[in-house]
Amino acid sequence: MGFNILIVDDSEIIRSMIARTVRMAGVPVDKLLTAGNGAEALQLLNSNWVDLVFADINMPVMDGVQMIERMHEHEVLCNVPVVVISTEGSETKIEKLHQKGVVAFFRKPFTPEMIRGAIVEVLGEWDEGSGLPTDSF
Amino acid sequence: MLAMRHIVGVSEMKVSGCDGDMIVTHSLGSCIGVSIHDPHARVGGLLHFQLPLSRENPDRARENPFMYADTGIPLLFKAAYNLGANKGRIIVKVAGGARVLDNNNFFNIGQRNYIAMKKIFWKNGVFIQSEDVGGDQWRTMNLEVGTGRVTIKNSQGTFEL
Amino acid sequence: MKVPACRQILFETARRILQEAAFAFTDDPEDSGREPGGAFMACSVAFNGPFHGAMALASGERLASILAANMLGVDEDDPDADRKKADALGEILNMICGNALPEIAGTRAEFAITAPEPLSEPQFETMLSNVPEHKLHTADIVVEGFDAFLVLILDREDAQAL
Repeated sequence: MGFNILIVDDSEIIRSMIARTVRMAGVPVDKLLTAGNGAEALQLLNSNWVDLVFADINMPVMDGVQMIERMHEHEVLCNVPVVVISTEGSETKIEKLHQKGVVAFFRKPFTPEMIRGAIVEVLGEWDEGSGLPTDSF
Repeated sequence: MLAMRHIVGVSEMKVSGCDGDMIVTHSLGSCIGVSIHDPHARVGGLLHFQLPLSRENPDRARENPFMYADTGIPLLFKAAYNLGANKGRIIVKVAGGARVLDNNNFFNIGQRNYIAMKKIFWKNGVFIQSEDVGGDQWRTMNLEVGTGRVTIKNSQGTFEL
Repeated sequence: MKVPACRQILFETARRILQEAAFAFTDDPEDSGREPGGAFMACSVAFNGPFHGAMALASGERLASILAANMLGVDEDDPDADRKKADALGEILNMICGNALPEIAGTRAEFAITAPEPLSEPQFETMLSNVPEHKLHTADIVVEGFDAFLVLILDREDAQAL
């Protein structure tokens, strides 16, 4: 039984980097879902069980703050842990996000070790090997 | 078998599967020491690489691949696999990459070594468990093969990584 | 902010982001020979907060493709790297902007940064020529042996006085 993880970022390359880290970490994953903005993410959250969300802040259509506020107001989605990965550097904004239930905040550029640390913190340890199929060593 | 203390020189690499063995490398300045350990197979290895990329001097890299990050790191992992280590279990610890003047009067070799190493690990899906890098300290790195315990010694003292 | 201080922030932030996010070696322009890096590419972001402005990053296609490959963890000739080169350049710019603004305005200042937009060479030239000199800050940076050019337009009346 694996986890369902949702990655929300308007940049395809950032979504790929986070997904790569999740696979590298060897987390047992059932579904790795991706969304390009907060509105797309809410749709996915309403139709899928999600164990962990990685979310950007500055996105078109609906930004990460609005998405997190909607989740915070929702009786089920308010319990889904959100890790914010953003270029956002303002301490004021970060404090507000923590008040809305964000479990961790990482400023881009992030390292794979940071992401793995957050996954372990939220989902606990797992017993799986490294999961990248294209490894050259 | 009698426990051994292996010394890894500059641009060298050693691996061991013997429980009591220690692998040590001295005088890590801008060079980086990469320690790998599989706690299940009880296999450990240590590489002391000097420069980031083999493309700077392919002939020298062919002669001694352990001089460069991009040729030495894969060989370190492969040598450990040959002793029964498994990539998914390997714990990586690194030290060095200091801002010290190297033989070519470059101050930024340590930083470049670190960037090149991170790129290789990212490309190959490897996490760094812990690191002691940068600064202007010379370091000695010590790996206990049986336990995977890594200690760093610098001018201030000795601590576990 | 005084021009040399601003240029230094731009240069240092860009260098750090390129190293950390894309594992790229950087040099001062004086230190390294430059290579032509294919067709022109550029992108920009706008920001709004205690003051507003824009930031733009220009490079050749070749460098953008290398950055994409490094970010994705694939070989430089991987077709995915070529396909995502504009996205890579945009995200690098986004990170430089997001990290440089708190250095300039302080860590409590809140800014909204727009998504990166691609710019053609004429659009880039027009943008530069339309900005009064006192609002324009630039930094040349050599990345992986290729030229890159970073521009900050700081639209604040007191920009010179700081």
